[in-house]
Amino acid sequence: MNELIERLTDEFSDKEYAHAYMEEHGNMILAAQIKTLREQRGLTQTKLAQLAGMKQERISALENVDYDAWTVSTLRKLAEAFDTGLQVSFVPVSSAIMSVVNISKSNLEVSPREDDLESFLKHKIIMSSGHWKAIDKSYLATVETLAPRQPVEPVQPKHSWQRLNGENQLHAIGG
Amino acid sequence: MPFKLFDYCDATGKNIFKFWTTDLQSQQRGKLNAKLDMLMLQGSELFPEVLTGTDTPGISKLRIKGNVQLRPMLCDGPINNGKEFTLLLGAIEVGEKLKPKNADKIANKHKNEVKKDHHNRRVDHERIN
Repeated sequence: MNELIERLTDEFSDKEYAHAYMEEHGNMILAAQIKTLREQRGLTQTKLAQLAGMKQERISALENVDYDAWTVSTLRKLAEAFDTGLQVSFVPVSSAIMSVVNISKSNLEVSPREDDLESFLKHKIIMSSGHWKAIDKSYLATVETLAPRQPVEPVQPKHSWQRLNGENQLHAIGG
Repeated sequence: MPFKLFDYCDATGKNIFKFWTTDLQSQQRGKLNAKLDMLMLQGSELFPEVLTGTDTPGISKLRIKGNVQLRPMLCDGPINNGKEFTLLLGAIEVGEKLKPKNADKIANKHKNEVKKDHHNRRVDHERIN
């Protein structure tokens, strides 16, 4: 995979090439994501068309990787039909390269609004390096003070600490 | 890469597909490589209609839009189906007609040659540059 990243980095020094590549890739990703989101929600093209206020034939055209006449208005209608957010933004070319190599069906899937908000509530919001970040609490380690069960003799400690697999607590073990 | 790409070679060992790409312009190369990279990374399942059928069963074409409509011909396999694609012939489409004429049939002939002698009639895909 590194080889493809290096190759694209080299090839993208040609501006015309880079933009043609990114345009084609972007068209493919949008078509693939619309189909992926529709299937994720168990919708037929006809049902999605009803939700988005379009005709089934239009959904079929939008799900074709060769479609290249996207409008933000169309994408907004689909975002509402899928009950997701829509983010249209300019990004560094290097981000586009990384999106090429990280493409996968699971990366195209997006939880519907209510599921996403429920999951989001389980996150802890922290400030890191000047940015707000949401971190899944289940990934946060907690360190609890361990109280000895018996009075500890005031001798030179012979204990060491060990982190057990799958646990976030530190356990004292005999030295 | 999860999927492997090969280029068809003629009887002298010349990479016919690579030769077809030598005169492509930057834009055409960029668009073609974008599609081929996605085929290598994800196959055709994730991308709706990335492979368009032709009049010849088992022969598909990629559609690359532009001033010149590129229609490279390829097939699944033909040795390890579902795990590889072989680029068989470079073609273009003018006024809904393929050039060369019968490109899908020529591609099918190439496919059969690869099936008979895949060690000599195809090579690992050479990046279009």
